[in-house]
Amino acid sequence: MKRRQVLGLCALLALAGLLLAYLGQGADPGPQDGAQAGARAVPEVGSPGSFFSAALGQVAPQAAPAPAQAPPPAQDDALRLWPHLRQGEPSAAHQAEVQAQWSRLAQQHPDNVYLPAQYQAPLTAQQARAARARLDDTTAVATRLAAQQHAQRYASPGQEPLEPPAAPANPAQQRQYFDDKIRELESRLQLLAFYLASGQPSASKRAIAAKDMEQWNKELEALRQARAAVPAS
Amino acid sequence: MLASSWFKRAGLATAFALAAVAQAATQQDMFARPGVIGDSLSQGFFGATVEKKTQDWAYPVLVSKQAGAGLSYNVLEGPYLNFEDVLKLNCGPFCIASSIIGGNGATVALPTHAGITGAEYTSVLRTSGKCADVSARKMERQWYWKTWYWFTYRWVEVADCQEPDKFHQFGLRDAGTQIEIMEKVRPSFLFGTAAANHVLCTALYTSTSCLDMDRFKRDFTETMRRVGAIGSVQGGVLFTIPNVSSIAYLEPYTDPSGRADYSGLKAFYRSSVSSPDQVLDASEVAAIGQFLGTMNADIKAQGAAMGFAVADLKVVFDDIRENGRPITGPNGTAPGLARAHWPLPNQPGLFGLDGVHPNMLGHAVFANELIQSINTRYGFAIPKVSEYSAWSYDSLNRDPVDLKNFLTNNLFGQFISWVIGIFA
Repeated sequence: MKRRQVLGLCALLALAGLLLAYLGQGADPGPQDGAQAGARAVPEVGSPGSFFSAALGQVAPQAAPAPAQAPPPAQDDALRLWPHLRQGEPSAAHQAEVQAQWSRLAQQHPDNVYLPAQYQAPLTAQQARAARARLDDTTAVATRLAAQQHAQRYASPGQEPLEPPAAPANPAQQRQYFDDKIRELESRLQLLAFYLASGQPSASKRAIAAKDMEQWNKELEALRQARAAVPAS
Repeated sequence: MLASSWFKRAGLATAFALAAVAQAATQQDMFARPGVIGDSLSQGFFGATVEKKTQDWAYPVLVSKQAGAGLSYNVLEGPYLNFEDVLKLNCGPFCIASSIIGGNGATVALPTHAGITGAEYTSVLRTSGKCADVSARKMERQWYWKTWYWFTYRWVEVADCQEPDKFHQFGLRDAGTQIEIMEKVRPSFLFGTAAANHVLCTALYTSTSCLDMDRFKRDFTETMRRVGAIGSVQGGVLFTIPNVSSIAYLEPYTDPSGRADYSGLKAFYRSSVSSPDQVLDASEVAAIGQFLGTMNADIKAQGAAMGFAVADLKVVFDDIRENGRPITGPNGTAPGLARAHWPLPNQPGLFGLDGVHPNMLGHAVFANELIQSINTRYGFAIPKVSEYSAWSYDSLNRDPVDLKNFLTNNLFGQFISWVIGIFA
């Protein structure tokens, strides 16, 4: 009887020790369930009081120190988690090389759409408005085409494609889309040719580039043909 | 009598204690060989590319590292481009060209991390690094000697293997589909969520026509069935999908003429709305909410059935959207509340410049929520990532870019086209 009591006492002590160690790790609350979250009454997107109820830029910024002024966190752990930090910030030499590349490209292809703003004439207010309108038109068409492709992504063999809608697309908008796409593809081909000529790409990059350029040239031709078919009004 | 019952209670307590010790000891076993299936969130897509640094900061990699484990993956060098690096003039013509065409850095024969940008449960089952759809078939003529004097053909059904997108080509190479890879890897722990792209299309296309609940249910169930059949999986984690209608890509818009179907949520870069197709109106937002509700209920049910941890990121993200995410550093330093948006000056943010995917800080937050759910479910003690460190070292938070200042940039339209097109 006494032995049993001793054994039981030891087991209890072991349990107590384990429980103390377990609790010492900190009990994390489980994820909130729907009922708890609902009780917080998250407003619908766009409704007053939600983040998106304010226009961007009108949300009062929190008074926060810039990262450079905040105390630096432990580096060892950061380098373990994010190894790219070992590379540090881009050097002045690297940035000078980047600028030199842009200068050479700008000399060869002054209308290339990939050129940064500093290599292009600054936009007037009217040009900026036109650029925004162009962005609206081009992305509207791109979105429509992507949605169409998505809808037919898993079509079974022999399944007929979607019929074009009764009301055709806006010719002006479609023409703008083709003009932008053609200009971007031409710029992309120029960029790649520039890279292949003086960027010293690896053999594998050259192989991928050759295949891509062949495909892009076909795409360019198809776009030009479709562009030519857009009605005048 | 009293001593006897006292001994029984002590014995039960000891058994409980031993069981607790045994359970705590198996974190190492469970993370002996983690595996990942997933999408752009798991791969580290960052507007608009995948590259080594973004793959390294993706949530499954962080969680695995914190659990004392590791993942192997094919390192990508594109396709497309890192818009932050381009706008900050850190990526010039050679860098952009190289990134647009894409390719691989280091490669592995059998990646344990098979998550791929643009994937969903359908492509987890059907898209490999070689074929867009491994189940696709076509008819082909096969010539043969029908008799000793008659050479003719017959129609035979053969695989229709068409080249997949570059993310799959470079991410999976010749290892198979995501689920086939997991069947070969035989993971002990699985990061198993690839649900987001079943619903993200609604935000990118501002349309609900892409929603397909039958396909989601069918392919999610089949994926989890095959995961269960692997036999090696001891545990895993799934997460619910946040409300995609509240991501930074969309912002409220009210039609000046008061038309209900021209008002709602539009893409952040649009200056106006000229068609109902360009907004998600109130009824569409409600439909998305309903779809998400059903999808997330399925995720929770499946997770519970498989004994997985389930992180309720829908609730977490709603909280961040409403209240922000506190970032607290050493000695109580408080940089502020991180918002569900790309960073702005003096305003930490969790998103990258596409308004869809997390930045380095966002992934740290993501990882910590998963760690919390895993620890709770399995009684583990995986340490969390320092969100303060992630904020401090994140180049986008350190040096924010207000994308709204670049909307007239020639390249911006193409950047958006790539983001939209990835999910087409």
